[in-house]
Amino acid sequence: MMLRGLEPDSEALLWKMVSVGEYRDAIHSFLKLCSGAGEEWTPFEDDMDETRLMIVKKQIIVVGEGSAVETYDDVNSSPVDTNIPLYFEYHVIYNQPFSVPQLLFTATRPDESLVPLSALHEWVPQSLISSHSGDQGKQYLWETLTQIEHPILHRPIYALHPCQTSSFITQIRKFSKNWFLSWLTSIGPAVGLKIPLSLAKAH
Amino acid sequence: MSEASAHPEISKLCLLEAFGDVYMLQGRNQLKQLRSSLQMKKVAFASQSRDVLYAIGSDLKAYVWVSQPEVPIRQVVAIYENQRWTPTRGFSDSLLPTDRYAWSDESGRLHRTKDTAGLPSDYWRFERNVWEIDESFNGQLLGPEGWNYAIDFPATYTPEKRWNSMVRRRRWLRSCRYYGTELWAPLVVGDPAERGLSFIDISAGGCDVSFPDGHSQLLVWAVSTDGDIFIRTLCNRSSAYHGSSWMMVNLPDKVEVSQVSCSPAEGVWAVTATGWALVRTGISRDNQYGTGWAMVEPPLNGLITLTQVAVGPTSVWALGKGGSVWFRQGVKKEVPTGVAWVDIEWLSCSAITVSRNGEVFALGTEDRQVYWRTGVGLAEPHGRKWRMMGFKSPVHLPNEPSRILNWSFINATAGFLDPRSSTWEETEEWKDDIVEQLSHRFEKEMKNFSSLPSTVERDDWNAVADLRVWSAKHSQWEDCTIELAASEFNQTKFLIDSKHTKESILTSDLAAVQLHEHPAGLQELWVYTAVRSGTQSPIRLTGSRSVVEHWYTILSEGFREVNGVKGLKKEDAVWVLSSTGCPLVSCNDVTSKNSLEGVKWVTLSGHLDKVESASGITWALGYDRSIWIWTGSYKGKLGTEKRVQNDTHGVETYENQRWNPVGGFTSHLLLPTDRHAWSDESGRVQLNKDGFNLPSVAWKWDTDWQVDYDNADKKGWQYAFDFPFAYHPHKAMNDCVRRRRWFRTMKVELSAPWLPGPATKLRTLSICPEVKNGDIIPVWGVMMDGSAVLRDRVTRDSPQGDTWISVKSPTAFVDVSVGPHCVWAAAVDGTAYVRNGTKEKMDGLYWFQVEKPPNGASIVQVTVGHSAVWALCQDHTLWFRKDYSASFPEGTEWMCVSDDVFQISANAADQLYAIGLSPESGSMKTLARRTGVVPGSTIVSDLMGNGWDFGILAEHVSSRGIVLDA
Amino acid sequence: MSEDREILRELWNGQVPVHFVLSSEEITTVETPQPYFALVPRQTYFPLCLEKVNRHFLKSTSHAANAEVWLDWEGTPLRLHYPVGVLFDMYANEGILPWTVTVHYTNFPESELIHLPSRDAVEAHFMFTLKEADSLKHKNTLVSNMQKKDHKQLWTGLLNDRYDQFWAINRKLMETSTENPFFRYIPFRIYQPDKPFIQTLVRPVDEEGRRLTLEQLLKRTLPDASDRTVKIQGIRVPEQTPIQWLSEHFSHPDNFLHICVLDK
Repeated sequence: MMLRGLEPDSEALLWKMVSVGEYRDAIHSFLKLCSGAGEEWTPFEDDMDETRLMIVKKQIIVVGEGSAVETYDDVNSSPVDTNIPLYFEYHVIYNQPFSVPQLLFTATRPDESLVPLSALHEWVPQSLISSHSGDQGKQYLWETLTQIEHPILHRPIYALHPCQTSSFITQIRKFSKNWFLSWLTSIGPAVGLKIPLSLAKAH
Repeated sequence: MSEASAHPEISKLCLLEAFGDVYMLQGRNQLKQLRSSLQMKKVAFASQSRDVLYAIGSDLKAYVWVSQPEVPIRQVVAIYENQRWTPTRGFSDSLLPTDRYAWSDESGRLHRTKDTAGLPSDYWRFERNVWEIDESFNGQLLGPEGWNYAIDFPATYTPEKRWNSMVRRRRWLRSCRYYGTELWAPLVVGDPAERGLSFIDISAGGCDVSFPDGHSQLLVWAVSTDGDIFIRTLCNRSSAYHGSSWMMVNLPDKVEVSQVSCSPAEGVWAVTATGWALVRTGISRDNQYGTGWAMVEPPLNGLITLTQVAVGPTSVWALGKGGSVWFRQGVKKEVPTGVAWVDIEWLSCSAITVSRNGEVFALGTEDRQVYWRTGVGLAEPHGRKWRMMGFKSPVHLPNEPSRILNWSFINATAGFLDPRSSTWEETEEWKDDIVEQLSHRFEKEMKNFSSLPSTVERDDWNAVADLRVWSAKHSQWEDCTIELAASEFNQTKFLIDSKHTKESILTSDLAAVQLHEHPAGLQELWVYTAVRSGTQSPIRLTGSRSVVEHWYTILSEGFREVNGVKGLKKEDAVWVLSSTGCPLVSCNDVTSKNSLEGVKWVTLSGHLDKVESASGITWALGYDRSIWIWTGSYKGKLGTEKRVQNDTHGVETYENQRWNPVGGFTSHLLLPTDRHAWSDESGRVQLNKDGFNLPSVAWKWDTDWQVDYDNADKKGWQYAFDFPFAYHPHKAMNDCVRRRRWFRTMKVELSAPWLPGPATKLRTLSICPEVKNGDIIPVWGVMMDGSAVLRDRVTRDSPQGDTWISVKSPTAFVDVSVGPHCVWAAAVDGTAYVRNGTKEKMDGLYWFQVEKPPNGASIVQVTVGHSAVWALCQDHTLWFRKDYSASFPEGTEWMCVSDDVFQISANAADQLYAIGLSPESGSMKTLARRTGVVPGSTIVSDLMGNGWDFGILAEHVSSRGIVLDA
Repeated sequence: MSEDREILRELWNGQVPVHFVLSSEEITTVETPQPYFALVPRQTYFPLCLEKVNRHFLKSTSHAANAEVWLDWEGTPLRLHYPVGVLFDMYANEGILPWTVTVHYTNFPESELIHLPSRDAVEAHFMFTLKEADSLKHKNTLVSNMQKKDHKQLWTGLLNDRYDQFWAINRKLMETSTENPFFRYIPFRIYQPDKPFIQTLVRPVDEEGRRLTLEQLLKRTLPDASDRTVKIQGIRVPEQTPIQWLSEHFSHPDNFLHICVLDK
């Protein structure tokens, strides 16, 4: 027996919110695009609940001196070596309370320890938080990029807060043909997710 | 216009008590008794939007109850004046012998004159003194003479006289109004043949039926003692639901009926004397009364004897002799008799009814509780199970919590009920459970570990808000910050900080906290402190609604916590009314306090003009003079009463005009010395119609502006030579001015712990203090016409008493006060009267007249204490009656005490409380108490006291609940 | 109605007795430190109220004062981002009181527990949960339309245990009107031992306009569970209680109803 997500409000169809149906359609067409362009996103489905459709991509990012990214470690350990590969795993899920897609990710070091949030905060490009400076900027980061309990897997994971997403998506939908792709390519880079240009061109 | 289009929010159910009292239930806590001295045996709830009920009295006669409608029920009585043309006299009342009467009804057969034209019944009164000519006929305007012409009676009438018009007639109209509301009016028996009719059952339906001509009507069926079945014709609004006559309906041969039920939509079922069911067939839109009957065999192939049937909009239910409940399956328009009986389990019922929206209610046979059938719907038309709804002793009369009402009958035909909604739902159960568990949780997890430190600092706390405070000195509102902070010695301080005000008040110094509503929708929080502590009392704060209400809660809860107020005292308390009609009750020991400063007041809900509390009961009068009785409750922690108190208040304004040769009467050319075009009666105050604001958000307009036609002409004008001379309804030659009175009423409805008292309106009342528990408490009142009355059989257990006893008096009164030995009253002529002998005989023996005080002022109020009598005059002077005693209640002379007094109340402890003006409060009326009084003393100066002590601002006080300490 | 206010206050004031024990792995001194007993408010989060506990134990360890604390109960790491009352109801369940909890300063179980290393982190988590509840309850989210200072007031009210301060703002999130007496969806989470929490969309009224009760909510989300104890805020809430009322009165400060379903 398949549990259907509740019918969206008529408002959801207009703007701001993304209905389950729209999310699923967007995922499916994105997956099609990906298979054509050689991008590896794996879908995971829950037979009992159609809202729990998730796609996962693994990526290795090598960090080192001279790159745009510097890694920090937590307070207790020694300075990190250069050229360390960091293992990222990105999840796209449907956030039901906010009715929008959400990007989650983990970042682990080769020894399987978690890259701390504070390090990730330093990582986020200045351009994204330029409007907020100093302490406010710091708080903005805390509000935007945090660690949460994964809604489907129930384990710790980093997440980009969705409350900015809805207004953002509204903007996108007005002038973009593929809102999902536009969304993912806009916020992905903030957390290291690279979407190949070929995908965008393919559409 | 079908009534079904109106969806009333308040759903009602009608219940009959074993003693014959009828109650209307509006939600689980709102039981309203239809007060009457008549006992009923059966009752039928006919219309919810108009509150119309029918009943069979213990005298087996049929009655109807019509609630006070918003728009009065009127009928126009018409008589016709008929004339014939003769060559000699032209048109005259000389008619041919074969003609109709010169004055007749429409048909011409019945003689009707202006004097004998009957009112439909005793409950109708003519509104105007005169008959008026009907100036229109069939939509056409006739001349002022109103004649219709025709060749002969009866033919086609035309407004114009034609060459062959030999007769003419005109119609005279006079409207009459129905006054028989809020009482059981017997259904008038028109036909002499009907006079002997006695009934055993009555049912009223049809509230959802749409009639072809668009008029709505109630379908009333009744069963006579002989087993015949009748319909009451024409039960519509214009007949005030009385209908006109009974019409017998043919029954199948040898069948006698014992009960009948009519659906709110279409459908009539009856039960025969042998226990069979009868179904009315042939009911159609054009014939709501049907044409024939069909017999339906009782359940179990006739084994069950049916005793009652109840017809709903789409379902039929029945009861068997032993209390068994049956549902008739398959009842449809095409199959009105249904198909089969379904046994409904487990509950034995003595009465059953179906509401207008199909909900089923029943009375349990043994426990006489009201049950509701859950789950009744399209899928399961016979519902799922019975759920008890309670209402065992919902009548929260003070001192009467254990009174159980035994229900004997229930009817919900016209009620649109949703028992799942919060007004009916037994919310208390789960909430009580939660409250109880919370206290267990506290015990288990916190109390036992109270020695442990907490990880949070709970001791000091601050609550701050931004509001505005009224600065009397500068006569303006100022922005301020208020804060509750902890102070030394574990107390809480209330701080107010504004440009010109910096106050710091300990919560233990708070005397009272009140919330007032403003016309603009703003709320004001009034905080009373001791008047002499230097702060201006009361402190008035205003701001956003939610903040003000939040702080009202904080302060009143703090107030209650500090003063340990859990419940209110029913005895030994002083009652006071604020300027907005809000009652406050003293909650600490008033007598022992040397000064009124230390008295704390708890606010109750209500809108009242007068309150009197003594001997453990409290009566009050609304501004509209209706009587309210306090339920005795204010549960504080566990929630307050959900009763409703309402009050109405009338306002008036006069439209003034002067005559001038050019334009006639107009308000534009009033002389400079004249009054305003719109003014009060005196003419001095300008009062435009739109200048009237409702005192607060809780008030609503009850009526629109209406013209007062009393003693005025057709358009409401009264004429006079000039302002202000004698006004009369017809313009005389010399009349140069005229005025017209407009009036409007506003009404307020509050949830407040007051029960409606006896239905009479009183000018004032007084309760005898110090009556022992169990004894009858004398309650005297003055009716609106000034006559003195005594309420019989009032006790603490039965505070509403039984009936009014008229006390013969030589004059009309304006005030009365009953003491332990006698009764004093103030008469309209300004003198006082004493009624002695009240200890021997409840209503006393003789009246003695007592002279006015030496300054000749008229006495307007009197109050009797234990050893003293006081009087208040029209000029606000206060007088003491010298030498009053039980054996000599008239006393000897008046001694002047004080002036600037507005109201007085003396009690058995010989204290005199009053409303006066204190030096600090300026022109605002304040509560005052006479200082220097030695109770029980025989020395005059001891009893008179020597000064005043002042307390909170108030308009009215009743101190007669205070008792003498042992 | 004032009964409801009493209930709100009572729930806010609720505290639970906790017996803090330092993990043996952490002890670097010769003497075992005394356990620390305290009453902890149900509505708060552990990372916010362990100052005194830390001060007490850190004497016995070699860790710096700002080491990240984590707790376990009988080996199970406690999810510090759950309100204290929820953890208590789940694990202390009818056991001996005070509830014994072990304190750790090292070996943070990263795969299981979310880091909440600072007050800011807890604040972010709290606000996030609040916004989620708001999004569920209201079509047009109220929280995002509030001023920054109102957000702060909610947080500081919770942090400093100021009921009036907190509810001055929170009342707006709990308000309903006569035209619209129900929330859109009820924010709730159902916790069961050793299972991930359940959160679904449930409306407080059914299609016929009848108020949904706790019983019905449980039936929809846990159709198979039969014999069970259901606790919210430490109370066995009667199953006929309407969930709209529960959401308005029994929610934690994050505006969520945290429902613990335990085996009998």
